[in-house]
Amino acid sequence: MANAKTVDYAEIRNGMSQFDLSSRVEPNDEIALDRAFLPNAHRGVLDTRRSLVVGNRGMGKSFWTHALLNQQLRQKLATVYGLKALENANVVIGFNGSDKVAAVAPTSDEIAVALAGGADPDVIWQAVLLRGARTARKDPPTTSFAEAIREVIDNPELYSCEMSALDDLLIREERSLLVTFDALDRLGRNWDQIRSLSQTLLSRVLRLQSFRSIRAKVFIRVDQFSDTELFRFPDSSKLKNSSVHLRWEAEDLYGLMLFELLRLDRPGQELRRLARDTNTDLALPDDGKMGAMSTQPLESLINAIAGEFMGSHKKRGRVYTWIPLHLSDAADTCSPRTFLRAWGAAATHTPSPTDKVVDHLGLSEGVRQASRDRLVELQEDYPWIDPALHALRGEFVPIEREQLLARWDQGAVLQTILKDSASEPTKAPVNLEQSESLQGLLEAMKSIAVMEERANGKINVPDIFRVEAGIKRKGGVAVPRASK
Amino acid sequence: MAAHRDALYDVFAEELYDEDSNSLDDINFNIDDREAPHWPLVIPFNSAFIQFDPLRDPSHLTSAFYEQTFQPFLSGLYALLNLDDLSDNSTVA
Repeated sequence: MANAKTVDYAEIRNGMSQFDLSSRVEPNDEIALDRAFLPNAHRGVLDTRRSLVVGNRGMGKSFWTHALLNQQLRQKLATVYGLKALENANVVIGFNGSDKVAAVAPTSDEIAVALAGGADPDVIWQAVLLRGARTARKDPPTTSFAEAIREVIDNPELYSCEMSALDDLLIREERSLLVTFDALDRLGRNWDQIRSLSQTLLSRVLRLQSFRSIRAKVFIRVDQFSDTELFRFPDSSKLKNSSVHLRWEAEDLYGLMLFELLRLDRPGQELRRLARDTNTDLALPDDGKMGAMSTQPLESLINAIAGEFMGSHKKRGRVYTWIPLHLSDAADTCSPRTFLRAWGAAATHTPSPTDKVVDHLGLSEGVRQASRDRLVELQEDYPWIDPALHALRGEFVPIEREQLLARWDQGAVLQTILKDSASEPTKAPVNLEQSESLQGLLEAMKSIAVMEERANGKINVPDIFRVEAGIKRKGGVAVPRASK
Repeated sequence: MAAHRDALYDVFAEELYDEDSNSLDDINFNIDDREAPHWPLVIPFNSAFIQFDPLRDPSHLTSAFYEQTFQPFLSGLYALLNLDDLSDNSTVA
């Protein structure tokens, strides 16, 4: 009988090994409707009333920036998250670090030229928002960025007059406009320049509150958000207090993993069969969104996929909590790519189990590989992590702050970072150029969640970075392995 | 509470946990592992127990009374003793 067919674990395993991990969203990428998984925790991220979204590398800043451009997807987001404002919103990108000349977003070079020509950073953002707002017209004019800059300079009232008229038009037509900004670290060639442009942008975004139907959403990196200098402008606390952090909770990560499997033909069918057999259908994220309110069916389904424990006994930890715990950074979150990478690698581990999709040995290896990849990924954005962690090789964490700073001092870590970033200043931490201190470096490490300060004042490095960096966990008991 | 947890971790790590060899066989746990031995089972303060007097009020010995405070602790304890059927398996503090 067809119904009696047992689950083909190898098929699901095959699907896992095919997870697409190359999906870093590049400027101007198009996000298809069927590619979007909608985590429960991301409602605030998409709420147009919250203008500042903070996220570490790989957490989805660029994904949402570009996903919001898809009109069908916006409709879905409006329905799933109950965000009516997205239903009738026009969305345009105000900046995304692209090198392609666009109707609204300037390139980094166009900004550099405008600054070199004497344009004030605020004029630059007025020109961008003006070009964005003009897209709401029936016949939007094609104004080059340089022309828009010139218009704003020549006519200081143009911005408020035209924006007010466009706001009225949008209100009459029951529409709204959302301008999104991403990749602010590409605004300039050094942190001073980037900070000045970012600060002016945030200030201008705050002032959009004067309009009813025009809003902006700025996606910003965690290290820039931690830069206190950035928020030295009037009323900045309003923006900061309503900011939202891009996070991935454990159930959303598992939901994403199942979602990616369901997108594949045969693996998806077998996963549905497994869910049916284990009475966990409610855990399947049909249509890209999580189903059950309770995590119980999800946990049961993950148990059916990978076994309940990280070994033969529960003292080794439960798979469901062990994986996110070991892949989480100091902000207690894990990037979706890292999570998928761990499961993808687990699926290629041999020998494969016969009674489940992956086992604890595969998962352990998968976590190791995913951790390695995550560290490499972060080093691309923050190359200074490398010398900072390297100096701690062989040390034990949590470590006393003074001991940590002493190790960095002995290893001349600060000097190495400043030397390595001499020709490219953005390769140093955001706030290091002011402080040039080891304390500043520690703050930078904390801002990107590679280190954390514990309640007892000690500094810890989460497992995801610790293992690859050769830093050890405390443990005082030497156990003869042969006796096990 | 967080500082107390960190202090407990230090004691367990130094006195009980294996030295770290990055092996799954190590008896060594993530500092934030809620299922690890160093993670305390918390009995929250409850002013109702200031008046605890089962001779005067026998209802103080009923589960409805004591579980208000002790239920997370008992659940954690049952789970540790493999008495999962007595535990709701969810509320280790």
